[in-house]
Amino acid sequence: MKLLDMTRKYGNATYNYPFEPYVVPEGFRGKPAYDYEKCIGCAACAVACPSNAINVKLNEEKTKLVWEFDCARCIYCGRCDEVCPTNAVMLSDEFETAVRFDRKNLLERGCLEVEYCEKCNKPFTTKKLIAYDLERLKRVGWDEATLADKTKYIHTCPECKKDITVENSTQYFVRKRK
Amino acid sequence: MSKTYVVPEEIAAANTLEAKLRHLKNIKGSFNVFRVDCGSCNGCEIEIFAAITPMWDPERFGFKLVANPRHADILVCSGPVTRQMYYPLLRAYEASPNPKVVVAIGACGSSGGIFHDAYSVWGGIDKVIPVDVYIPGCPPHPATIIHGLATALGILDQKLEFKEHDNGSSESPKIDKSVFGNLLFERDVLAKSKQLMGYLYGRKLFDKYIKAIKESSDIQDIAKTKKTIERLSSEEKDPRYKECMRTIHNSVYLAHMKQFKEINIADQIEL
Amino acid sequence: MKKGDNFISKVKEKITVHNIERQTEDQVTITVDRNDLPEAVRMLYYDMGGWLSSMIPNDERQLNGNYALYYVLSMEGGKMTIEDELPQEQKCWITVKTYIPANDPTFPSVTCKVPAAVWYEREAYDMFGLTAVGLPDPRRLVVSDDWPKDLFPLKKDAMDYRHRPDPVDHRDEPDYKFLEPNGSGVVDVPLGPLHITSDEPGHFRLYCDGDTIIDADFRLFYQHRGMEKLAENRMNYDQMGYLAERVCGICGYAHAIGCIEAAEKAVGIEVPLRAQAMRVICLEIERLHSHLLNIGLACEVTGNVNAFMHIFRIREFTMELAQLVTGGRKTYGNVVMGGLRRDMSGTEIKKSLELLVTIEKQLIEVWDAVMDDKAQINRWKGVGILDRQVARDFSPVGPNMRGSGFGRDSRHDHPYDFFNQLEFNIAVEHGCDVYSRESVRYQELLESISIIRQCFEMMPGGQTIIKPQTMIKPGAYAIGNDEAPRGENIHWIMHGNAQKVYRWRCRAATYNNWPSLRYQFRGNTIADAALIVCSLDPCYSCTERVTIVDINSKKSKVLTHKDLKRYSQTLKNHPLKNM
Repeated sequence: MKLLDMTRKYGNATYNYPFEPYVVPEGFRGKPAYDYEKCIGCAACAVACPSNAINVKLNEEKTKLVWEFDCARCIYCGRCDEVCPTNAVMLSDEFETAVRFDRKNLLERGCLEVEYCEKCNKPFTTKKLIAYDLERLKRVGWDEATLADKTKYIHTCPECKKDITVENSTQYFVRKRK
Repeated sequence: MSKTYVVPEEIAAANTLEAKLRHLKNIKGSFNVFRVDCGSCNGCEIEIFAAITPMWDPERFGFKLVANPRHADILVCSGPVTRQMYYPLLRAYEASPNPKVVVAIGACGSSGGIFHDAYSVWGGIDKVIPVDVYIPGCPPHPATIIHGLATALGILDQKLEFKEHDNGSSESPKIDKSVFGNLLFERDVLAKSKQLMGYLYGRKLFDKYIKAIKESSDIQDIAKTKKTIERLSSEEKDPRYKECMRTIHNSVYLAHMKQFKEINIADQIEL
Repeated sequence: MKKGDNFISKVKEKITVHNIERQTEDQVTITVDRNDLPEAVRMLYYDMGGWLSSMIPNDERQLNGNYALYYVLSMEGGKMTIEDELPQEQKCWITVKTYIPANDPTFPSVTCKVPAAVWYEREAYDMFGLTAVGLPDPRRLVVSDDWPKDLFPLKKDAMDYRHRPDPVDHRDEPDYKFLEPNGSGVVDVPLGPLHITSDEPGHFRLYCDGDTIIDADFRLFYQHRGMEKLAENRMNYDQMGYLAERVCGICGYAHAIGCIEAAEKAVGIEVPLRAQAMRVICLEIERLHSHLLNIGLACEVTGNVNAFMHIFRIREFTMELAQLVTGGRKTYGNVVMGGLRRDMSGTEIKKSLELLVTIEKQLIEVWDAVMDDKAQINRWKGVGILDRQVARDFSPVGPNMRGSGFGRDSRHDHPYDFFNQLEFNIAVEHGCDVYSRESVRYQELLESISIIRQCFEMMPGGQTIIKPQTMIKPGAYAIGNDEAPRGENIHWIMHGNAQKVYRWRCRAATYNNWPSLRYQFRGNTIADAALIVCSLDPCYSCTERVTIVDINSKKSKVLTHKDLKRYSQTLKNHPLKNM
């Protein structure tokens, strides 16, 4: 009987969703929102994502770097949000994510221009990432000469960088021996 | 790729898109749902449970759970389909009447989620049987579930659609001007903020601190800046932000100024 | 003298101990000969008041050419009587380790001396091909019925973690061999794997005479997802916490904490106090919603739908609380090595304290109303008795255990995080039945609310995460323990190279609770079967990363088909009577 009294006491407890919007609290972890303008294609999110919902790959022609997010696989942990250096990926409060009949609607893609290595001409990152790096380097208090040197360095792919380092150190030791 | 289930012809013939749409139109207002747990972690189950209780109450739309796939209009499947649940899933699928509407719920159901490439799962419901509605989420919020079921029936509209961005500029995104003319200060403030309050609130703390320090008439002047931060952090309603703004000031700002000037104990703000 | 040394010197009197390694202040590992293993475990378990907490088979062929077994014993006293409990400063973990040469993958079964080891040893065969000699019932249990016979997934060189052998045609699904009696008057009631009462798949066979259950058999592990292999191959430490959180959808956070704390303990990382307090808060919020769920279901399976609805209404407040402080209702996603990655702001703390008042008030009100209902109490009392001796033999954990008068609580016995600084009582009831277990849960709810309040009030300032400069030591290992809503979770981690684990063993609370279920079934009516399962608060997915099926009785005798059939027909000479 006491239970029935409780029912009368508390009355209707149902949320009126979907007839009224459901308001989520601040800091709710909803679907990651992607800001294409801010994305530099560094792939930090793809490396961090525990469920591989974000993938960053070259397209088939190797002309574009494709950032792809599969909402179906997302576990809403917010690791992408945490590691993104430009805040291009941030968790939103979007929770109405269901789609019907076509799974493709869960995907989101962003294509970015690739940068080719000055030495070997292989694609290795995006033009935007290089531009962003240079822009930041300009503001850490380096002089022109250092900056020019670094600019050249930044346009080479990691493999060529390795080669250059090996070459330089060999030359160093050769000189030292002489 | 391993060889999994192929939908028999008679089932495929009875499950055309037209048949399904007609079926969904017929059951709008009252539909029976059978749940198949294909090895989910239980999170989706518990949120379905939460969704059918008084706070969310989908019975307003005619949602009813049934105990037998033969009574089901809609099959709600969760989990990444473990090897052992593969057979019961197919038994339930074949036993349910035509046309069958299959809803994949949760990240695991929609795509295998975090388990997508493990040896003991098949990586999502749609790797085994055709799926009509996807309700992603890990686990989906009860509101997401209600939205998903309503979307399935065509009561609500789907919000997401495929987006492809291309041919954007290759210029660098805008970078805010550094208060000291050296981004390394901002970098250190951000790192400390994240250590103090994590990534989410840390970012807010960073904004609050940078905004506060900009108010200082001369940020090279340690005493003046101290006063400004002290005043502005005291105006902060949330005690946690107040404490953290002061901690940042004591550790990052003073460490930065140490390169140029002598620092005294008195330059620190009390927490 | 350090913790555990007194026990080790007692073991040394009888058995040669080759090596003693200390992982943390209260974790010691002793290495013994393969043949001394059962006696060493038995001495620690029965003579010195240990409980079997976990067993870890490990493929260490890359490290030292052998397989290794680690039997983890929680030394806390037998607790059969009050005097039986060890003083707080003596409680510790002792791990008995033994090497198994790669060319002879067998070891003497411990189950014959300590029945609690039964599942662990079955799993050792399934995942590594290590045979426990003397362990009855050679059926494979963890992996699926269609899994190839000679493929042992967790062996390092067995297969790629993505390897998926073809399934058989679904119409020729391989059968699982149940112990099926077919005597007259004995009804075989199959339940599952898909059933409406309990959420998750599991197949039960109840053998009944009339309305009374004589015995039961079950096939679980429908949810084996291969997480341990996945973690060893694809995940780094930053990602593992999220995988561990998905071991289970109800007590997932406890797994995440257990897993990360094991990794932290192995390299001796100290977590900032603020992070410790917040970890405790999240763990207790999880306990709130989990216990409410269980009490609600216990009402529902006895037909008290009204109470169920009220309890679920209150449970929504706890979900809101979780959503407020972590951003998610069910997966909190804030654990990383070295602390937490999300703070709680002052505003959130204030709102949470308000929510706690509502929860506490309505909780007391609804429990009062449920207790007012004589019919409800009658359905709970005297049902599903967990005998104290059975409990001592099988090492169950959590409310299941505390309902039978054992004060086993990981928060008290092996305090972790902030629990050293909090005041709380362990809820213990002595009825051994469903009623006692639900009553324990109710008292724990109130304790949890008080713990969360204490944490909020004492919330330390400072950092939430340490500087990310962790040194991982390959080969270092440790145990991480915590008290999940269902009981103690044990995670064991051995670090590997390149930010990856070498071996991660996750033992969920329910894993220790299943083997005694069979005894709880006996003598009850079919109508109570669902209630008994429910009162265990089973979490199938937790357990089923790996596998099971119970067959063993106390002294690990296998019930033959014939025995059971004869018993089922005549109901004379109970096959387990002489054990």
